[in-house]
Amino acid sequence: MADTVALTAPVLPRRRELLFGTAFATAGVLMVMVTLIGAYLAVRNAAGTAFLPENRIPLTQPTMMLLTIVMSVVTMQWAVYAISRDDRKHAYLALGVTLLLGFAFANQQTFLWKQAAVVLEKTGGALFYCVTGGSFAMVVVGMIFIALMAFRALGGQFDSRQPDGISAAAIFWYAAAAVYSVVWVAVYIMK
Amino acid sequence: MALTETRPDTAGPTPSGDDRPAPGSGEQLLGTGDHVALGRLLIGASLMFGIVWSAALVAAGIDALTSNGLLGTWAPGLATSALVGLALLTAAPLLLGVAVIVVPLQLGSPAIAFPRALALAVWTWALSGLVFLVSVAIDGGVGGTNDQATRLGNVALGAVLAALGLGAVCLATTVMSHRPEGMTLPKVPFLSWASLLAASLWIATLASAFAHIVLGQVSRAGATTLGVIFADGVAWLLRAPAVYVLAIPVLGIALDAASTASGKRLRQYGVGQGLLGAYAILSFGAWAQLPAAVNTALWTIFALLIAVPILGTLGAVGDILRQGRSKATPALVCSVFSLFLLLGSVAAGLTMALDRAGSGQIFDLNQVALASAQGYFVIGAALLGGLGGLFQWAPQIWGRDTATPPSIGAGLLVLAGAAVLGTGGLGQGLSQQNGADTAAQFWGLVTAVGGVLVVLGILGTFAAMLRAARDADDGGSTEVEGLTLEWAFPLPVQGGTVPEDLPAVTSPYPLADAREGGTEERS
Repeated sequence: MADTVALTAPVLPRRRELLFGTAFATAGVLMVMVTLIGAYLAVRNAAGTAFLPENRIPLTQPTMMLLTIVMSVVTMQWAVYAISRDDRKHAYLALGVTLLLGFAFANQQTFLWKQAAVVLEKTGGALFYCVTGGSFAMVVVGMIFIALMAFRALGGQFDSRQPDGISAAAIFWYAAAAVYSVVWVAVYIMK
Repeated sequence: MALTETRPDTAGPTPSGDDRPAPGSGEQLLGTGDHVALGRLLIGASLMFGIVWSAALVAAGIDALTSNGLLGTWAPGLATSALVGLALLTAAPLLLGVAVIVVPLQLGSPAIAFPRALALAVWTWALSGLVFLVSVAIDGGVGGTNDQATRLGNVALGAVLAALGLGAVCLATTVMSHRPEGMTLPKVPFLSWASLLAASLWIATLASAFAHIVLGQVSRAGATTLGVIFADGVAWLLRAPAVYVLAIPVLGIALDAASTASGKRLRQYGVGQGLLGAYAILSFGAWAQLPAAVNTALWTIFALLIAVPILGTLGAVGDILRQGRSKATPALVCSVFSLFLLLGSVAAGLTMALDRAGSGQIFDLNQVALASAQGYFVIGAALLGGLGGLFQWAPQIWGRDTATPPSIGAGLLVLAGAAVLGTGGLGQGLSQQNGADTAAQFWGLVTAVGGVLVVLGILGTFAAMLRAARDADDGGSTEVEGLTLEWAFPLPVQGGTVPEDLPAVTSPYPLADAREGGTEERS
């Protein structure tokens, strides 16, 4: 057997770089959604009863979606808690459940779009899809982010000393959940 | 084979052998994540865009001078697109380019955060800028009349906003996570502090405008509707208070340039940071998107109160300069005059506020021209401040100092052009009452002259930079003695390297501390 050679210690990524980057990017996404929701409310206020009069937007699916995303927030925090204590099995389980709940949310959203049957060309149609689609896109991007971080965690890149990836994914996920909560009130409750 | 075992010997050359073909300069540029190379790319491209968009302003001015004899229906769209181009394809990326080169060096960091994301942002910005230019050329862009071309311009504008936002994320993250031990936020050099504030505000502001671009695209709007969406949802970027976000780094450049020119510190460092923070807060304008927002008292407060941090920064610059003998460097001249241009914008805001105080019934001024004046003043200030940054950190950017008379001349030409454009807009707003087009030919001439001066100024800057790069190739050196860490890097600066003997950070001016032999906290 050949002689062993000493390898240099791997250079750890800068602590909190991904966390800050995600926080700044999330702030930008939040501004996009806040602007769209503001524009939606302004147009709906101005249009009055002429706003999507032919569409009956149900409340059952939106409420179930809210419950789903709230549950996923709990499981995401479970993942952050587990990885910061080097409990890798629980971290993988929590990330998997979060992804499953995210998939359920996306499934309900697409079903809701079919049920509501809002036409793009009508007054407010584009805004309806921008607001709900924006929230949907946030959840999908969040799921991709979580999946990537889960794979990196499987590769051993995250632990109690370097939990940033999971925490960064959590920040984006919480923002997605917060945005949907506002969308739930603004679009589905105050209709 | 385990990693701890030695690799088997091979007969052929090793992967790291010298006979591998070296990547060409084009390949290196396309694939680079080096913040210095990417910053240079941003600076060069933004200045070239600056020439094109200033020339577009000249064309719009000549068209007005000849009573619409040059451009026909193309005229209104071209003037608005030129303003957008000067803001988002010239002034903002020029300042971003300076910041992505200098900020990591000021923090003693070998690299910027997320270099690949920055490369993505730079290339996306450059290509989208070209697409926007093409769309304007085929009667699209902003305010065009061709449906397809205007949609193309809308997509390109959205990509430009997203790219600048991504670049801002990289910059802000660098300041937050790449600081060395001892450099707490209150000890961050002024350009880095201003960059953190600017990047945060740019992310918020550009994202809000991006939402309206998305809305225009989703609604499959034609040229007319896209024009309305721009007027109601994006045009606020070019008037107070939001337009001031473009010039946030200028304040940091002015304070750093004053310290370098005099070799002295700002004694009340926290006050300087507070002034920049106050300016940043007062430049947040996403709340004032609707045209009716100009009628509110809050708008008036924002538009006028911003004069306080600008005047305060001028005072801080004066306080630094009076401590010792100072040289009138091109950087100092450009950055100080850019602050005066910002005050010109405040004057335009005051005029708008006076007009709206009587619900437009007392004076009945041309609000569109006044808003344009604000845009010209602030964009001119950002461009001039950006040139100041280029001259201030020319050794780090090009490897050689550019403190030469041609540099000052180039800066003064841009100053004159921006002042002519802004003052012209102000005069037009005051003279054209009741929405009339009084002396339209004269104001067209003023616009054309201002545009020509800006073009000449940018060409002069190019000449100064080329000369600096040539002198650097000849082995030139710089004699500048800076106070902050970027001056400790060997020239020419290359990304990925940090000098081993960087001094410890105990104050905002670590190199000054090292020279004075003290390590006590001085701020």
